[in-house]
Amino acid sequence: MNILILLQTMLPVLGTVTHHPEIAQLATNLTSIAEEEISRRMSQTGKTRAEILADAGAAWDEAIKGADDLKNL
Amino acid sequence: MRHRIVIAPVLLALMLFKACPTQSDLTRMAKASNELGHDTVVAEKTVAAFYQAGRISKERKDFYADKLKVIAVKGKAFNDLLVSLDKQYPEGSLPPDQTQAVRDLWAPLALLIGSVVSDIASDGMKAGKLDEHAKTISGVLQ
Repeated sequence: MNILILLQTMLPVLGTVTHHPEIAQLATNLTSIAEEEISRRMSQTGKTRAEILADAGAAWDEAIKGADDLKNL
Repeated sequence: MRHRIVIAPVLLALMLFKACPTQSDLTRMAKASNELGHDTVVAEKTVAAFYQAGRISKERKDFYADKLKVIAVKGKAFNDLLVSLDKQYPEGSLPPDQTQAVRDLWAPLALLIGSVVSDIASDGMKAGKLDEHAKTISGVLQ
């Protein structure tokens, strides 16, 4: 995640300097992904093993759907 | 001689402890499975973002989509096994044959995750902590 944070810092600057909007957009997207992850991890405390496994099952289902969405992009 | 008498039960206890995962081991695997599932989603979103920004080709994007799909399907099967074991053995201790079943399901998934992590790094991307959470499960099953 450290490299992701570094990218988030560097890419908007690089995007502005080089006038490449796609790099600035990439930075925005990566920032959004990192923020969602941080928020999710903060909500994980105090869960039972069964609850964790239920969350995990939902995450794997989302990953299966996400792979199909990525292929169709 | 006195030392041997003291050391022998300690060694035996350690061997038994390593032979079958404790409840905390099952919990550690459950947590790692949860993180791996989310890391896989993060990897997919990251690949999509890099593709949309023109940083990787369509072929490369499809390559990752195929590999991540296999990881997700195998990951779901691995998690389903943990759910089943959690119900069968609520105290958290697994008999050796069940531990071996978990190892058998985990081994090919671990190899695939290692391969994707390497590919993602070679394309200048970073997706969550796939390798770190995979190592957690491998460590528990050693």
